[in-house]
Amino acid sequence: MRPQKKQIKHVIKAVLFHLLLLLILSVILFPCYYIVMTSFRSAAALSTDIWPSSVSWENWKYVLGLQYYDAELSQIRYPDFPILKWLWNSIKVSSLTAILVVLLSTSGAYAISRFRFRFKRRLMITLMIFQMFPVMMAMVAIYLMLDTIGQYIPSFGLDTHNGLILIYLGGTPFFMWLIKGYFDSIPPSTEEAALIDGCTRWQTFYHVLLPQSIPILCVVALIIFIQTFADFILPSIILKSQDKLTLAVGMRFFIEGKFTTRWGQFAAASVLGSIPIVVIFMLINKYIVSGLSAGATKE
Amino acid sequence: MRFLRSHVILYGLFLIVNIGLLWLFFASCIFKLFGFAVFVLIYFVIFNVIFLHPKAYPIRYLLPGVTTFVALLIFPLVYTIYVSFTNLGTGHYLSRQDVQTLLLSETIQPEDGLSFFYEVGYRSDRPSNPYALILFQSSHDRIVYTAILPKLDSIDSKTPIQLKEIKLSPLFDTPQDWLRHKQYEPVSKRWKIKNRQYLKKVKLFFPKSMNMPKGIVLSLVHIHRFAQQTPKYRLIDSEKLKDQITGIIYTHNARSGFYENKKGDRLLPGFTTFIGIRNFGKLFTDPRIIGPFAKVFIWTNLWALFTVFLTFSLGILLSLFLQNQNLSGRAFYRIMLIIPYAIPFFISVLIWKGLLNTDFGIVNNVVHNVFGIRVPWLDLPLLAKMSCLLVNLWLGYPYMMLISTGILQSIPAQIYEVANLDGIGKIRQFFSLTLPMVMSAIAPLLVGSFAFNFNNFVGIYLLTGGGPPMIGAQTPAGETDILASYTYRLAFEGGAGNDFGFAAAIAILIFFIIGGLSLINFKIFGFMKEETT
Repeated sequence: MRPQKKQIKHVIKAVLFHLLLLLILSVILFPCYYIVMTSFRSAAALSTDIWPSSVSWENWKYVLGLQYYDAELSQIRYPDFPILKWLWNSIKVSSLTAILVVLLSTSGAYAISRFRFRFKRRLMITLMIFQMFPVMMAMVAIYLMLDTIGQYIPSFGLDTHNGLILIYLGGTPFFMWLIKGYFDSIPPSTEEAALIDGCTRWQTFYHVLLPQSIPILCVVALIIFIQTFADFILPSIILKSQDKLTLAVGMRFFIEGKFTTRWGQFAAASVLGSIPIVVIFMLINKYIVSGLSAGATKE
Repeated sequence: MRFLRSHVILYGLFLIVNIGLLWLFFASCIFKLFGFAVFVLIYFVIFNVIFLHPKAYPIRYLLPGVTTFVALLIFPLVYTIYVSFTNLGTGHYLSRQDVQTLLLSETIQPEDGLSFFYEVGYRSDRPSNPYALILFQSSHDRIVYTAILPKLDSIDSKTPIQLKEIKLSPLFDTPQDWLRHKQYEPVSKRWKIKNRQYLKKVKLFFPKSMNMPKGIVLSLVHIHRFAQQTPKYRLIDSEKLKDQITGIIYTHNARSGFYENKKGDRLLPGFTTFIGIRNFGKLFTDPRIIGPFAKVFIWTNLWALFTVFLTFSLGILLSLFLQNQNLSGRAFYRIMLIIPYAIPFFISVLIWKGLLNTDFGIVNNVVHNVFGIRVPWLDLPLLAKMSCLLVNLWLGYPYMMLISTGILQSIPAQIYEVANLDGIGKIRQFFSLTLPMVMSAIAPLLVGSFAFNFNNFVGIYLLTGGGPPMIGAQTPAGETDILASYTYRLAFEGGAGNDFGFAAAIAILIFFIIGGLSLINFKIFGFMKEETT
């Protein structure tokens, strides 16, 4: 073919590809667009609108805990559900869990990555298998366990954030494996040099390996943060008072059957709750890929 | 050996942990938590062995992570296994000892027992004993009984208050007159109602000098009456309960979990009892259970299978599209396509639940405008299942897309060049070249995704709550229930009460399935090949 014809063919192909992708993208992302639009929709607008006919901030006022105008009751009032508080609860629980789990898992990851000892392989497999037992299945046990703990140490019992975080601390093996994967990709030469110079193992861990892996540990902490933030099952079993709910449980409670009256407010709450997570996710997404497919790809 | 600061810290920590463990052990013994004490002891031994044995040096590092794991995951797991062998649930929540104590504290008012009306008077100048109580059987009684009551919140039901017998002089017409004479202001009925929780704690007894039958204690049985109450049951043979009025004897039945008499009448509440493998047996033999359970099991498998298949297909398709070097703006598309995965699960699922709402969801609004009908997406069994799969596809394809991209990038481009030279068509290239290479790398992740979705509680429960209910099922089972949501509803949403024992049995079963799958996964795909350092 003559060069121009080939070029034209290329251009057409490219345009077609773009069109196809944009089509797929618009179908897939339509719910997101719709939700954002809905959060600005006033109660008077029709739900079939693609573009809201009237823009109102009332839903956002509700979500942020400010006084708002309730169209149903035709009055100005304070919101009855503490959405911002739920968001804060989720952030608080997720951050604490992330930090604590990373602290607990890192030393274990170091052992698996840098040492050779008997039963290492079998131990890892056992840990992973048992971690497959979804925490949700032991819900009765966890409920009763926290109930008992709560009788002796009230601040760690049922319906407390401490109790919830305590249960999350059981999820260390997976992250031990994840961090181990990252440790494996750091060459041990610096540590070996330090060992030859007379450092103890602990010193090489603490003074050589850890500083190098701080960025990776931050990423793991963020992964844990995202996972905990989105968790619905454990908080729904453990937390009961409205003030203490995390966003996940609170939103479900909030929308229970009341899609007509609360849809706009729900949309605003969804956007508010999603934005931090989406942003964090975008920042670390390439690390997630490399961590998940570690061992599966040939580097 | 140099005495470094780090040594001090290490030995200090070692000592502190040991002391802490010992203290925990003794504390749990005092509190009679013997099971827990045993665990603490075992851990104490293990901890010391690990830290003192030179060869166990690496394991020290594993201790923090593994400790929390064992305490917070293994322990509940073991307990769940235990529960699956009991009948724990609504109506069987307490131990037999606790139930016995509860039944023994039940009281009734004997027919020929003493019963009095009462009035209370208040005196403000006596801060520690401001109230006077007067008991009478009719308001013109001449013989009445009085008592001085302390401040309301210091009334203790374990300390009975002594009554005094008083003969009212004819000067006083009613008990209230007597109260006023003694400078007490009679309280109103509203006061009695408002403070009844304190009045309920008042226990009155007659001093020996009054020649009343022994052991009578009066307590509030009605807002206007104090009366004699006796325990309903008495313990005989240290095991059986005898109803004081009817004389019927109740013994505890370990099989049914109730105190029963010879006829089989039961006393509530029941207690938890060990019922062996009956829960598991129920699973396999009770026809009312097998039917729904089998259906739920089949759907769970189909659900996981289809989800993996659909998400993988769409994921790899999209990542192939984006592999095309000539396409500009690939990074943009990639980022945008990941968004469904980035949004927290529960938010997305709830949003979809609203979108698919039969009457108000926008999906149906569009369908209505175009086709004139409203589709009950979440209300008909087949449609509900399809909706679940579609929503999960929307949620899950980015993950597959991400990992496919990673793997596709590692396939050297020369292979395709050679194939092109050989004249092999693009489609055949995909199926014969690309797919097998991707599969070998991605297979463990696919099995992992299957296991994840097998238990993907959130995806189902938040969208349909288990789906339109199955007709004719005795236990709450829905058409879109997967084993996980079925178990959850059984344990926490049962209409006829919660059957934790049975739910635990199912949970154990699920664990074996998932565990077995994972084990096979690891064995086949050589997880954790021993690295040579």
